[in-house]
Amino acid sequence: MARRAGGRSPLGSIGLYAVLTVTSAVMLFPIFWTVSTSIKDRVDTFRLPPVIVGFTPTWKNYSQLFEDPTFIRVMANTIIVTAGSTIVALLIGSLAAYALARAPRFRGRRPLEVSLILLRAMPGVVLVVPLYDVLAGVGLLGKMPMLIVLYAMVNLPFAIWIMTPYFQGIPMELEEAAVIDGASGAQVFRTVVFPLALPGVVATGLFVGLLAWNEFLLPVVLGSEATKTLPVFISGFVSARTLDWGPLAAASSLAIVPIALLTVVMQGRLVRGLSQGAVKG
Amino acid sequence: MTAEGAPASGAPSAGSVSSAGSVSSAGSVSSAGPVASNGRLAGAPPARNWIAERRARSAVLLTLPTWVFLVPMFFLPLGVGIYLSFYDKTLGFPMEPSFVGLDNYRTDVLSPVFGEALVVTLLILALGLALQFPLGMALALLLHQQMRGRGVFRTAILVPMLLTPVAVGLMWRFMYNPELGIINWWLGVLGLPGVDWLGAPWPALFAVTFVDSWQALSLVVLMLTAGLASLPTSPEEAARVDGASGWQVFRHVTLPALMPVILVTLMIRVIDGFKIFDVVFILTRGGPGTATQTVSMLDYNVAFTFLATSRASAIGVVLMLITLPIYFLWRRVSTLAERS
Amino acid sequence: MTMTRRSIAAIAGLAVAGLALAACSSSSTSTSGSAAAESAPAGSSAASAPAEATCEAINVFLIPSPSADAMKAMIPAFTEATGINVNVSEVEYGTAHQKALLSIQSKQGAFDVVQFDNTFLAAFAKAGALTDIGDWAANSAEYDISDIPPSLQNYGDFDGTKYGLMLSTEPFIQWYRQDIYDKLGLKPATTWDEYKANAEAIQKSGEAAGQMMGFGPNTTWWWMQLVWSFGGALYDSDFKPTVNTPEAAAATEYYKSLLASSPSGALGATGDDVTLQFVGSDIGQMVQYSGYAAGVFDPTSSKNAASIAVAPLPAGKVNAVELAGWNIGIPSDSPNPQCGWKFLEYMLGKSNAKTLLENGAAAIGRISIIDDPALQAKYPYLKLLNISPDAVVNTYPQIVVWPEFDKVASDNLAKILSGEVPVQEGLDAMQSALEPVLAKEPK
Repeated sequence: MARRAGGRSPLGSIGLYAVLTVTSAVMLFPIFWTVSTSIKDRVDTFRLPPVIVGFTPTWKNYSQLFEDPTFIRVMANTIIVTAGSTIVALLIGSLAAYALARAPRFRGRRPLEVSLILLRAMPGVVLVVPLYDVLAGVGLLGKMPMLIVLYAMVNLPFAIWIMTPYFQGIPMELEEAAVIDGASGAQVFRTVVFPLALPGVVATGLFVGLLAWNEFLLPVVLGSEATKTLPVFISGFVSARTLDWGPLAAASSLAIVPIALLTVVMQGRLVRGLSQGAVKG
Repeated sequence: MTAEGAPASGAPSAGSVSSAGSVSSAGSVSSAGPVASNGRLAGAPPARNWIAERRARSAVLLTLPTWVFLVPMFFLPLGVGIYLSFYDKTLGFPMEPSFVGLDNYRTDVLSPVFGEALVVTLLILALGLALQFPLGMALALLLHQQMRGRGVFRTAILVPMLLTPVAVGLMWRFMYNPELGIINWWLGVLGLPGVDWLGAPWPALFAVTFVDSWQALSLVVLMLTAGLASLPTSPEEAARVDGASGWQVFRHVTLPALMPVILVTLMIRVIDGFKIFDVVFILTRGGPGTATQTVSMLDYNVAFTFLATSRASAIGVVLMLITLPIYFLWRRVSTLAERS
Repeated sequence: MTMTRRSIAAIAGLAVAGLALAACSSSSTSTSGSAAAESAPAGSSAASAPAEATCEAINVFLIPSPSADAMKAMIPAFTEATGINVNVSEVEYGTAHQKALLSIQSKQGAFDVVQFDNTFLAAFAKAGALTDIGDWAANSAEYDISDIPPSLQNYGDFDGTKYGLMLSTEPFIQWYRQDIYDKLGLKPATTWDEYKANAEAIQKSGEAAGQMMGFGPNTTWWWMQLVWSFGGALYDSDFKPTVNTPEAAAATEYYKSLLASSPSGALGATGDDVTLQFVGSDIGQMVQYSGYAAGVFDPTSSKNAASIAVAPLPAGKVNAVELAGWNIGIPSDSPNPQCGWKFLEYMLGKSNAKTLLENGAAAIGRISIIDDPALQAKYPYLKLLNISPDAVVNTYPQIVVWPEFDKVASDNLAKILSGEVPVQEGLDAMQSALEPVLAKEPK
């Protein structure tokens, strides 16, 4: 329950609004700056004092990106690896989450919990350095299917932890009723449990998808030009001899604006799901 | 595991499952706080044990696909990493790798460079926590007030959380530019001298911390507001009726009740702070010099800049060992969270 | 429960199939590659081979750069002229070299041409990753090595063997703002003392910041140059570092003293930031590789484009000039080395040199290019590629451990430049930190 506003003085209210407005502005400014830079002409980008409003917007930076076949492929790769790995993580993760939700004790539960926590807690490089060696040895470096399963694996802990409480929340009686009606275990899962857990699965898919969309270390080390994703593409601007911030800002905007919008639109669900998953993850 | 995974054929007897199922209902989906993950059948009478056994057997099967992923892609590489750390494999060196015992640990782990990286990592972590938690707590309390437009503010503060670190890192880099960046320009407007944000050691450390905390603050605020919302109001009201001041209520009633959520959030931040990589990679690459070279950045440099696979593996093994105790911390914190 | 098991099996199968799929797609290239690699002839017998070489397609490994873009633009014409299709793989600089090395060392035969930075020449050569192309280069009328000044001919040679051709010629040159120089009555410096005096005069005038060099992550680019100019060296013939000698100390003192007349961002500036700031804000002069010319003189990206002029690098005790630039060669596991050579001949040969340049590549220092008056008018920096014969041309140190040497040196320089430690003390620390690094250099 939120505290009632009754006891607040008008001055207090103004202060409250002022603090929150300033904080919100600071939090949002980098996003605003990225987007506004992306629709500026090169010359406006470097103008001092900085041009905050009142420049002539240009879509040149975006059209330049979308005319580049490389960029089209980058976007396609990002979408493929994000969607593919999310589906795999949800399939594998929902089964494990169901098991963890329903069986308090089973052979391998403790080792599984330990593994998931370590996978979540270990710095990515620890895994990526030997993986690079292993994958190079078997010729799987820079292959899209490999990246998809790797993405799915690193996001498994998160997927499992977010979904477990959703499965726990499904009343056991419903499953039992289905069993009385003669359904098999798999049918129960498919026709009763899964549909009820679907909102949770969808929310999980959202988070896992976002994590996959943002993933950087895996594709930059283990990927290739053919599998280049958006974060890798964007990071290329740091070392490229480019004197132009426009396309960079446009590519960055394309990466972050969908996420920002998603956060705004799906806020309620995000808050609920994340606070559940984040507690475990 | 194959023995345990033997099929449990035949439909389960409905009646008995029913009674076992109604023992307790699991944590409700809508509750924002920590959710218990087990304990459902803890009090089941011995006669019902076979139900638990059947569940256990199918659980083994259901978790099998997860193991199919973890074994070749998590445990195998870790094993290879341990193995490589005792050799001298370097990409581009003409000779075959040979066994060198603990040499890599001596030269690369027991070196001032690794110590420095550890200090830098912990420093960024500590500075970040000191920034995120007081600020996050204050914002969570403000957002907990009943007011018009609360949702708008909350959304604004949450937006940075899930943004692509690489993309925002690059834009911050632009904003930090000492000559052309907007941050120094603002400082100039305020009559303050410009700062060479990414060029001088301390400013660079703050610059990295600030970008990381900018995103982390969203998570902290999210967790704490969710925690506050789940607290019962009666103890607070009772304390207020007893004449406690706002600060006293917060200090002696709200804060203790919120402690489990704070601890969980703290743990998440400690884990993520220790792993910090993307933002450092984009903003400074660990520079100037080694001023922002975190352990992940160092390991990356040794592996992929010096091409010294074995030396990087040795560093990786030590980072792995540092991570192991987190499991126990995790268990303690989640037990605590579940108890509340 | 049986259905559940089936679905588990299906998912497990999916994962395995994913792995298998990836494995198949790679194994097909690797088998064909290694078989062909074994039959690839070595340099000498192949001297006349290019003419008879036939192949349908080659695979080219490029690193994103103006030179790579220019070659890509010429591929359709190459295919038309030779009937050879070209598949391009581009990998970002950050991981490009280790990926190329790994691929070649595992003998996948994935590439027929590989672009690499000169700093990795030693690593590639010592790993046996490159084909000796000395005879091809010497005997090719199309490549015409005599069109390249002698001081540049062996850019790409390691231990007397030619492993790579020069894809771009990028010496350090002096860039300055003609408008500021005119206003203050300055002339381009010919010595480092004059360079510093110019910088201080500009700084004092308040017109602009005095000068720009990188003092950040790429600090060794400039520091190395100064050490050489002041008569020093980075290491001796026994691979012992020599970075704390009086010459190196004098160079470092000089380098550090330039900070006082540099803009505030210089301390953290990367190599690219140096150029970015020079073209985006007001700075009197800069030392930078000529390879940045395309961006500097492009009025859409450089607000000072019209007022920027170039001059040769100032000389010190030694008239040393640091030379950077891309190399390009043929991997030792190439299934089609002759066709790879055809590609190099076409792209880097005499007759297409102008096209390559006009497609935006950093120029190759060919006599026919740098002496062409029409091109000189268009690209004012071209004549500076004709490095004076009495200059000592220094490339990056040709050692396998260069990346680590570079990192250790720049980490220690950061401490010196920030004033954390005095120059001599910092160089002594660098000296002892570099000893174990150089000791690892495979002999």
